[in-house]
Amino acid sequence: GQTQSAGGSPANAGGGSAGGDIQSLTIKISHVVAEDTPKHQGALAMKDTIEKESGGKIKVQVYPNSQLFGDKDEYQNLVANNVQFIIPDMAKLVGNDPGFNIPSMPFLFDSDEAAEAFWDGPKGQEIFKHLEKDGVLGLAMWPNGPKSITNNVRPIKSPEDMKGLKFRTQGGQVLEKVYSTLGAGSVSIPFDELYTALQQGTVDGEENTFSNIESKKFYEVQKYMTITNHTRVDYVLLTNTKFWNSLNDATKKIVMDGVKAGTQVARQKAAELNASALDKIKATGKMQIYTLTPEDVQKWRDALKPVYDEWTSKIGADVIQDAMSHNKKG
Amino acid sequence: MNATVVLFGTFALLCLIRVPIAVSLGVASLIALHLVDFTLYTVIQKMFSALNSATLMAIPGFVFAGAIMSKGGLSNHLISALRAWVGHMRGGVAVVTVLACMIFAAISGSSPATAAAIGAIMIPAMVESGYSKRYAMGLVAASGTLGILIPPSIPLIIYGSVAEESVGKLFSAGIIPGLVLGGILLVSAVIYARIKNFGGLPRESMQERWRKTGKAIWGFLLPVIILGGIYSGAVTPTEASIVAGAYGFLVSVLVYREMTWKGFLEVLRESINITAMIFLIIASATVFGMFLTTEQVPQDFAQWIESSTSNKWLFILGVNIMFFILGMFLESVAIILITLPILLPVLALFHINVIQFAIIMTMNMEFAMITPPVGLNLFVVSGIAREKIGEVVKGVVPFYGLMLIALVLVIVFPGLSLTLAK
Amino acid sequence: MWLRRIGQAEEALASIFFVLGMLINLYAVVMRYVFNMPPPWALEIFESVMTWAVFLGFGMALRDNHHIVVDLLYDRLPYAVKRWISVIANLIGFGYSVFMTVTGVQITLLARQQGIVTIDVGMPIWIPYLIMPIGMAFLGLFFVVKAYRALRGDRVEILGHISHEKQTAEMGHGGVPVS
Ligand code: NA
Ligand code: NA
Repeated sequence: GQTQSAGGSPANAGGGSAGGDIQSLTIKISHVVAEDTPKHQGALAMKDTIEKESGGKIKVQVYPNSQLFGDKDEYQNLVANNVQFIIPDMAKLVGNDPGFNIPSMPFLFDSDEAAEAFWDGPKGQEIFKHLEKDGVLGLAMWPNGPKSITNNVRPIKSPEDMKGLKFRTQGGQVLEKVYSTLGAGSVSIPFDELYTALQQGTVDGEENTFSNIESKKFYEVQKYMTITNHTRVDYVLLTNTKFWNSLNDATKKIVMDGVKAGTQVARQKAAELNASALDKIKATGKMQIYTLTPEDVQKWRDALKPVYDEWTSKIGADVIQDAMSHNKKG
Repeated sequence: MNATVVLFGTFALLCLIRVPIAVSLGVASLIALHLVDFTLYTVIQKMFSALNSATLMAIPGFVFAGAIMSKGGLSNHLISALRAWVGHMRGGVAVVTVLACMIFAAISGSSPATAAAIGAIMIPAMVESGYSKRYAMGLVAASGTLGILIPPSIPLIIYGSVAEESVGKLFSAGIIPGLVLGGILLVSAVIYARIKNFGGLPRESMQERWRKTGKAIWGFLLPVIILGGIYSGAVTPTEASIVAGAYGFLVSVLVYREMTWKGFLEVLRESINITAMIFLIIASATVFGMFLTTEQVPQDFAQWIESSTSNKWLFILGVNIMFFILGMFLESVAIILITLPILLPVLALFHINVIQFAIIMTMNMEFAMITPPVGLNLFVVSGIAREKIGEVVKGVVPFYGLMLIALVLVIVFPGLSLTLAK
Repeated sequence: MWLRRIGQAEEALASIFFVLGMLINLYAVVMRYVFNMPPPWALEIFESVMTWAVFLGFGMALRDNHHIVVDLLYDRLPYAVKRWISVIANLIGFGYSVFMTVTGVQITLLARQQGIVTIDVGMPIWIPYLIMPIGMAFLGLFFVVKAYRALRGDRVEILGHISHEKQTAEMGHGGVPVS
């Protein structure tokens, strides 16, 4: 039910040619994660819907696992229309617009629903609009989920427990600020080397969603996990104006239906997968797990106030305000 | 399909008229991509992104470490100590080469890094001890492939993330097959040396041995530093490569005092040249692979194999042949990412264990490192040994047979990969 | 003479970046392991600087005949044919480099216009991208020089294997004069 406004911006941006016949074309969707992820399931739902509704006139090819384009080159290939949809991690787009730092702002959203409502709402859509100058259209936020912290040194409960530990993060200036504020180090280590780095103690810990911790088997090489939900991993489904404007109304409607179906599946599967991943992690019994209490969370929020002092103005006070307004009141 | 024919045809033609392999790959890919309406201005960025990766940067690190050790005296002292101890034995130095590769493989997850680190010392050591250069190059190229079979292993980490398998289990599964292949290489080295009369230097006295060992002690400390650095968690493998280079530099300048400014500049030039040569090929091969991926060539290949047989052994044979052919042109990581998602679902139908298959696939990726035209270990060895690629290929071909024996053993006896992976 | 200068400039730059990259990496190791204060910018800068060294190395490696070629057929051809094939092959390399230089400029300008900055450091991304056209232009320069030498009938250029054994035919290192 959260997807109504997902199609807002392209409908305004695209002129498109009028006409009734569905165009024959091939659409490529490229992303950088594995097949049993919500992202890929969402992409497959797009494929199914579009191929079915077009009676096979539109073919959709989905390329997972960075097979076709990787993190660093998918955006320009989208701009060049070598691919029609990509679904990057917002953390990879902070260089395009500071608004994409939102998922890294600590304890900003209290649920997937709040994050989804923000990105579906006017302020979120405005951030997507900033990509239009590149010929890129932001269609919808696809969640991965809230991140937790794992490490090998000690159980982490209060912000003080973070002091002196070294964590691998995805990188980015907000996360760096989060960790330095807590007195911890943040290290960029290539994802391929992370398992070995955790095993051999090059870094003490890392932060990730349950689904990543489970699927990358980090629980095999980490002793403690704290369910913090301190920051998030969220993706955004992008297309390009060149492709979008080449579609006539009938075709555009079908593609939009695919986008809606994909968004719905991706959001639903993300929540399911994180829940089941946590169960699986618990079942292995390999990590000692602690969940932050509401009192703990308040301490963390207080400790992390400097992050907001620095970044609220950069992202926009109105944007932060709007983001918070989607949390449950009280 | 037409564009694919153009791709391979252009590539072959350009190679034959002596256009550098990297440029042949690039030009063929550009033409083929143009035929399928790909907008070409992003290709250069694809090449840039392919190289802009910390994991790859272990290659320049170890190439530099090897070059500085050979210019700075470390290698010479190491080689003379090694010759003093094992030079009189038939195959002694070759055995040390294989063992060194196995030990190095236990800290590095990359085959070209293994070949670069070991080859820079052991190829000259073998040549000076009377082995043919062709054989020495082949042995290092082949033994270097153990880098991805003996854990840690980058391809196994990627397999684990695609197949949702425990990386720890996959690593354990690689140990025995790694020892088996290492063992086969060791035995072959001894037999071959006996036939060819390699080795057999005059036996040196114990005093002489210890004296030379003492002189080489700084060189012998290097593996201790690298192994210790990684296992103690001080450094990642990429960082270890650079620490090794810095250590080699310090020992050359402060202890052996054999490093001149001019010599240092030469080491730099050689390291940059070899790295650039290898990286331009990696970048171009990435574009080549991107074309094949957009046209779904490997995907169709894999699908065709799994749909055309219901016999487990024919399926395995087909898959191995496919890996061999793809491995001639593509990078191992690309092959895993493109074909594994298609193959995984049918493994259960054929009652093939996912972990055993990981090892079978990894051993195929070892072949990919040493099959022309695109074989990273071939290029590394060609670079550090200053030899034509054709010579390296001639040296390595006999090892295909030995590696095939190990592969067949791992296919026929699942216990080799599964015993430790419980 | 000018060619030699250009070659030296390229080599000096590449060497500086290569050493700088290694120093940054060592600094990061020491800060993380000894002082427990990992510099968060290190990996991004390390990758960039090493990539710059590598892109500059493309031309150097060509000048020093390090790029790998297949001479299976070439070795069996008569001299006159070799000469023309050598010209053609180097011109193909030149065309390729020109294409990469032009598109390199194009993508650098595009990234600049888009205003994209790097993730960890926040440096405009067109700065690291600049090395794409620069490196490819050096590569193209040395290809066209080699084509010219083959055309003029330079025996070292035509007969010398592109391989690593011979260091005699190095351009810009006192080998064959060009100007
Ligand atoms: Na290894
Ligand atoms: Na190969």
